[in-house]
Amino acid sequence: MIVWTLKGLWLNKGLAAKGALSLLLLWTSTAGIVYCQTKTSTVSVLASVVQSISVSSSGGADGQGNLDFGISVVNRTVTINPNTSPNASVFTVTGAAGHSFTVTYSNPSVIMSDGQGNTLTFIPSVVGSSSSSSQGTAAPVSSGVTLTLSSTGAYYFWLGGSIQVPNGQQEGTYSGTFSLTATY
Amino acid sequence: MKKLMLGLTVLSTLLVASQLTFAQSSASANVTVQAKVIAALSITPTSATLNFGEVAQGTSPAILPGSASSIAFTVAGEPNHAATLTYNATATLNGPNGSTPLTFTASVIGNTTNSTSGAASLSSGTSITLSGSGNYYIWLGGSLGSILASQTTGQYSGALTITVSY
Repeated sequence: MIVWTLKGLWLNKGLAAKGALSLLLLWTSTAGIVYCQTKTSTVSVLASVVQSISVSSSGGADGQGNLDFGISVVNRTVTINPNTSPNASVFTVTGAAGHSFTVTYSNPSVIMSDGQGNTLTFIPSVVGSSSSSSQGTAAPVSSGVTLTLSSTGAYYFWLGGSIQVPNGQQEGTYSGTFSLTATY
Repeated sequence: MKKLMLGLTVLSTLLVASQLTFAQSSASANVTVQAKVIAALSITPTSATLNFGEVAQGTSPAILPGSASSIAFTVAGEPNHAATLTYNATATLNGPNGSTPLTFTASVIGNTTNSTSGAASLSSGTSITLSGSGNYYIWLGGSLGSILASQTTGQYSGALTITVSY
């Protein structure tokens, strides 16, 4: 508090007036900050939405992509060549054109069971190409590799493989599940 | 002010009239006028852009505050002083013509040390206290929610403002 006071004069004679001139000036100032400061930072938030990636299966003997080795006798290895067999399963990947993606699949083998406790081992053989008409020249694809979708946002995989049927294998129908995943 | 001037005039008139035959009495008091100047406040980001990069339809992308993709801010000001932090809780990201905007929800953490370890989650309006060296560290991340499988592909952008004040 700042105070200015003017005290008046007491006159001995003459002037009867007795006046005390006081001027009180009050100026309160807060103990804290009177002047505030605000600083602002503005940032941009960006995102690029791309087409989701999807995989569908087709081909195979039933057109649904299921791989059927047919009937086999024991003591034989049956094989489906992914490059040449018309019964190879086809996996079609679609997504953003030109985008890279990673492919993983059941590896190194798939157990096939007859439901009675007997099993066979399927060893997959996968080839791939960005062109749907290039099964014959499609290159081998290892699980976990990174590939690039075509200019139309597609990639194709053909699945073949082999099953070694040992001597003494129990007769029956064996089946297993092979899975192929594309991610970006 | 006017009153003061008048007062002085009157006083001097009285003095002249009475030929200064009286004793004068006066007193004074001294007061202190003070002000404290404190350091200017600043907030500086390490990057001007929070970039989610490519996000696929059907995904729920998020950037964790403190991660490499998040934005770090350094606040500088008066040591040990409190400040108020405010920011948009959400931001709208607009995309290609005809697209539905994306909504970005901010996630902010802060600490008096330049380390995310022990950093507290900060909502807008929170009071923060600058360190003994006058600093505070903030990290901005956030999420875009669930992107629709039908979301129009393309570039989306928006802006977010973060403010400190005291």
